[in-house]
Amino acid sequence: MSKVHVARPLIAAAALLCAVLVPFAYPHAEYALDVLFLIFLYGAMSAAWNIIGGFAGQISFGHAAFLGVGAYATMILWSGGWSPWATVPIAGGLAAIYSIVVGVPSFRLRGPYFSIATIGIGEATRLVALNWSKLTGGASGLTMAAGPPPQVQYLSALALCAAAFGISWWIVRSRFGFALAAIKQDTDAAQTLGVDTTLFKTLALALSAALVGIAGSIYAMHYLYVSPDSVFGFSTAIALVIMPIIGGVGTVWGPLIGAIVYTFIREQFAVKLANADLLAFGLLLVAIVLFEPKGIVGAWESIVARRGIRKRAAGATAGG
Amino acid sequence: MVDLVASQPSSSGRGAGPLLSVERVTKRFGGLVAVSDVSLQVFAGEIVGLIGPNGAGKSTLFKVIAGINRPTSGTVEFEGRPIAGKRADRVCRLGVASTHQIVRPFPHMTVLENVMVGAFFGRVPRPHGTRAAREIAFEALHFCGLAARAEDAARTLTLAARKRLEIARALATGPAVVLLDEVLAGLNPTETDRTLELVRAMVARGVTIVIVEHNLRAVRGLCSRIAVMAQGRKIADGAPTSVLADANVIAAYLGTEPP
Repeated sequence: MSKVHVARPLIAAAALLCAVLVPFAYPHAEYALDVLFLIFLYGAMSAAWNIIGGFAGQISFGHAAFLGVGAYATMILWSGGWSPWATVPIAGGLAAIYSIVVGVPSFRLRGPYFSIATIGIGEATRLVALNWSKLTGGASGLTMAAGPPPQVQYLSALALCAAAFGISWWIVRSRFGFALAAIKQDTDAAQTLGVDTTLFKTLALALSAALVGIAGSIYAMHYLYVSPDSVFGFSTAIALVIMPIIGGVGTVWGPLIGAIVYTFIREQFAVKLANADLLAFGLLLVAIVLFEPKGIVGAWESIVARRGIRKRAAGATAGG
Repeated sequence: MVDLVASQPSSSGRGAGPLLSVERVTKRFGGLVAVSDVSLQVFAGEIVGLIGPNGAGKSTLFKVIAGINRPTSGTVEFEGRPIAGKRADRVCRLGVASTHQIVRPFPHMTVLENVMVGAFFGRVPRPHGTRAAREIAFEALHFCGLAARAEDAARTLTLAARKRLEIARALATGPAVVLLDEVLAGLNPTETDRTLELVRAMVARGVTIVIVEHNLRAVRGLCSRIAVMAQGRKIADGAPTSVLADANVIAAYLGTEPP
């Protein structure tokens, strides 16, 4: 057991180092860098969603709102003369504040009712962005001429992704993580044991929204264009739910695996069959719900567990 | 050795005042009066039994004290501070823990992790480190005879063990008072005796107990005082032998003899 505990952070650190070196080792691999950028950006959002949706069990279909708030904050300030990097903490902070404002009343609802409320929050936010044209540019959105070089974008997405997974790794070992797990498994029992359930749900949501808001900031620097349908769209909100579910809801590394699978499928279909990616995600979701609710990570763990039992059984036979 | 039970704070040593005081509490659900004008005082070191026929309002009174339900009227004081209407988590952090009548372990946690939740979030001040919480939880499990099951999934426990897990979780919060709601229901005689021993050991460590129970033989042997509720009202309160011989109590349980 202890071998595994030492090995995993080491593997993660080695992988991180390799990822940092990619743009220096392959300065001309632009497409690969772009795909990796997307994996890390979506991986960060997927891990962020997993904090509230996976660890705390509060399924949100409204996370596109936080992506949009972050992306618009960066675009508006950037076009007003700010350095885009200076807008990053503001994007994260505004998304967190917005999440608290909409989250506190929503947390009076539980389970599926909370989830339905988050759909409403996402759509309401999109409509505000659409109609507040003075600030947001309305349906045509906001554009910028040029952004940071792709290598810098890549490294910033990587840093955010590493931070999101570092935080997830810490949460499952901490008092905070115990609170979220207790809330997920039995909110009433958690409360009788002294867990301030509303406080911890709100903290988890704010942390999740801040990370997604920062992702929105990097998104704006990458695409140089934000519009209500791109960042606030329901398909964006669904993407944030699909990735952790594919990889493994409530696990630390599942959201990254989900982001890899998601980006790969989308890139494949974007070239060959537009919109058929939605069919692929639909089939994948059905398979996961039917066979392995904990996604790819869950499937892997049950394979390992079965092998362990077989090995032990074989050892017992050989020994006897 | 970790101190499981927070030592009685000096602030509670205000003479002979009650640790827990329920004053004229009424709880209505729409037209139904579940608890009607009930007063009850609990002093440090007591084991108070709360008995009565089904539907008498015992569990509702517990829920009012624990902060799960807000009383329609009346007050509840703990260590002289009003707690009625405070949320359940705040009541727990002040030092009043409770067990659920229907056991509800966190199903996807181990037995130890279940108890660690109580250790992490109970009566303030709490240790923040995971290691300290683990030690407190282990101590509580050991105390409740569950140490051997620490690493097992909570959902694999038998009913009797789950009931002890409920007690271990409540104990890990470091309470001054524990409200036990039918912890003996569904247990066989051997398990019942073990649980009664456990409750006595808790009192020996300085925890005050209020217990709702239907097993009158157990209550008579265990409690220093018994309060009886019927149809939402308290109809008797006193030493076990005199209360159980009271004509009103017998009438509430068995009905009156026809003339």
